[in-house]
Amino acid sequence: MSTKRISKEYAELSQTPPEGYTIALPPSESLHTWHITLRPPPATPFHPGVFGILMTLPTDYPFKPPVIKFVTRTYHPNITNDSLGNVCLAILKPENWKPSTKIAAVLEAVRNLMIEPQPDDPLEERVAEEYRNERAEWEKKVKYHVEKYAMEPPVFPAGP
Amino acid sequence: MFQPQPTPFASACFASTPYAFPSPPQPVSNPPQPSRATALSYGLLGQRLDLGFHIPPSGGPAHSSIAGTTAGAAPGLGATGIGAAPGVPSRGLAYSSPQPLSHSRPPPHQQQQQRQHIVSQRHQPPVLIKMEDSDPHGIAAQQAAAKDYQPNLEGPLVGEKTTTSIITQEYEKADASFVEKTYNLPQTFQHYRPIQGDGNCGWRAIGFSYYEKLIEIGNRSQVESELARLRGLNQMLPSAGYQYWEDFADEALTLLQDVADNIGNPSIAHQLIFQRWNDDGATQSIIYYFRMLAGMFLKMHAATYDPFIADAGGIPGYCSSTVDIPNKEIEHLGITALVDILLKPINVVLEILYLDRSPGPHATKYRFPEEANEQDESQFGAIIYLLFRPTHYDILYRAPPLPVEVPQHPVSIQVHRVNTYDNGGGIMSTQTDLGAFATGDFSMLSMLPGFGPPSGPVMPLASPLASPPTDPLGEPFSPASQSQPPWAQQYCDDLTTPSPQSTTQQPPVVAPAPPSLPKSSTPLSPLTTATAGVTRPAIMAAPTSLVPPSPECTIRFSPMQLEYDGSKGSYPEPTFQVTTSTFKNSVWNRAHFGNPDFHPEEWSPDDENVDGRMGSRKKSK
Repeated sequence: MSTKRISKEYAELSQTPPEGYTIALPPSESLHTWHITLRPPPATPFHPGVFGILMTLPTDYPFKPPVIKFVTRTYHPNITNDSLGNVCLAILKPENWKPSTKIAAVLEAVRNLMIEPQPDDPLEERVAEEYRNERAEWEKKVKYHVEKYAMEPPVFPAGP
Repeated sequence: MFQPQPTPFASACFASTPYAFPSPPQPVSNPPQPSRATALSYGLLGQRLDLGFHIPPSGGPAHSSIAGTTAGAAPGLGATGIGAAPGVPSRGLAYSSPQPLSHSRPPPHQQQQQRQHIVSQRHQPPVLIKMEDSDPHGIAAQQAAAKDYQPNLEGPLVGEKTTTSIITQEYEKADASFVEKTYNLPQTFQHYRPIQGDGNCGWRAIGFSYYEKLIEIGNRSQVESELARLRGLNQMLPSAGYQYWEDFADEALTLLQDVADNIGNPSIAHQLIFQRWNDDGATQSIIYYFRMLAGMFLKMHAATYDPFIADAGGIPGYCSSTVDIPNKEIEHLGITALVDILLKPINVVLEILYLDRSPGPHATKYRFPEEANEQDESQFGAIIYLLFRPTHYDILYRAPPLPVEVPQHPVSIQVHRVNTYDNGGGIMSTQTDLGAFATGDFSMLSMLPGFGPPSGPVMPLASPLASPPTDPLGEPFSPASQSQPPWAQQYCDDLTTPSPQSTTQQPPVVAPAPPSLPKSSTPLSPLTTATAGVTRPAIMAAPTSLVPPSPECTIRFSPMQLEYDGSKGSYPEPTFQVTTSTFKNSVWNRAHFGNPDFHPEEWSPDDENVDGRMGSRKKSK
């Protein structure tokens, strides 16, 4: 079930990737790990950066949500500013996940999160505070992070 | 014997006094009110309390009495009941997980608390509350525990048919209301099919039964029209917000196609759905397909169902928080939608038995769709029976109904029995009195050979029996006896409204009708005593009323009736002074009712031996 669905969705997405995304499968690995690169739109302070996203699809996908991690360090209220790069995305929470949600919709949600952070539901309390109250300061730090971490093509961890 | 006169006013007062206002000190062993409230909130709505705490019903007298009685032994338990739940090891009563029953049986009141909050136990790890937590029973702690809780799932997703006596055994140490209900369960439902309680059990039970009923109905074209119907519905899924549905639908429709292909061989088809529903991927997909269908139905009828959703999210919010989420148990709205979109088109009704603490010996029944509750079972193509125990559904199976034995001649029995009393006419309402029986019996005696009413010693016997000084018979009869002889009244009544009863009475009566009727009615003048006025008219009225035949009555109640043709008067019973049937039937015969000197024939026992022809004919009857 899951393999069939994943390959179907992968075929769809690799043919017509959503805006700003490139999708690849890591060599000699199962369909359950995807290497995704995201280039946020120019309107955002993240703009020139290239962000690597590692998506893991559980074996009982689609009945369990995919897991998304940023491999590129990101200064964002909803993304942990560490090597884990956990993302807080409402539609991916186990209690909200719907098996009828396509991966394309998940990627779309991630892109929207880059455009419009959700400081009310933060993973990084301090960044959210800054985003709300000192937007200029936050943008400055974002640009610093982009220059420091996101200018090179992302390096995905080898193996699961 | 004495009973107060049942005037409407008196009876109303009498009845309302003891029952309308239950006395406050209710015994603890009988706490119907809180359980009823619990039953309603869990059972009828089919809803589940996730956190497992229970809001006590607000201040009913019965509930407060329980709280009062338990407070002494276990202070604090009565108010919320939460405290009992986590600390007490689950007893494996409401669910099949075999928890050790090592601890001693708690005192009754504690047990009640336990039953009442059996829901909470089911959703919590047995005893994993952290002790350093400031409030080990707080909502936050319970929420945390519930979040990490992985239910101990045992058995197949869909089990084999099992005898329901297992359920009875499971509950035999439970609360008395459960014991009684589960004890009665196997009498109606011999088998049940355990469904795994992974949060999908309601969906799984209904979905599996859907296939099962299609196989049982065994109509291939019906299954194929279902396929076509569901394919049509699939096209609307994306507009209901379900972007990806193809795989789920494929799984469900493939199984439906397989059922159609094997419809001629039900055992294979049954095995097929049993296997497929126990295959993890397939069953998840089919269930999710049904979830999408139900969600789509709700969204299509959002205006109807929005008022049922308390949250601001309305139907879309409800769907994305409940219906669309895997392993979220079905609730009332979900059942309604699923029945409407899946079962209603094939005329299958869902009947759920709620095993709860509501009073009564049987589990509460409720049917979906709602209107099926008032309809007769014969109108349904099939019925799916589910057993609901708080938070869990299993499938129930009824034994094939026993053939109903239709009594062959119930009607004629009733008629013969009733007309004895009906002859009494006005005394119908008081026939329970001994006097009524006396008159009724004697009026029958008067029809027997040798018991002519006026001449025999019967009448003196009847009067003292039927006339106690306080005879209530006197009341309804007095007006009639004052104005005119009651027998005459009776006569007129019967003439105007010939009843089937009087017709059936004809054959035995016509021959022995008392010739001295006018004479015997003379003492019934207004001068007669009350005793005679009561009893004698009743006796006399009976045979008299039966003399005129009612030719228009075509109902035949007895073999005698077959030989009797009222209009032609060809009644074959030989009669006194009649030599030819022509004379007998003529109006010149005094025994003919049309004769101006009408005088009923009288039978005397001597005639029988004198007229040999008559005797032989009697024997031939």
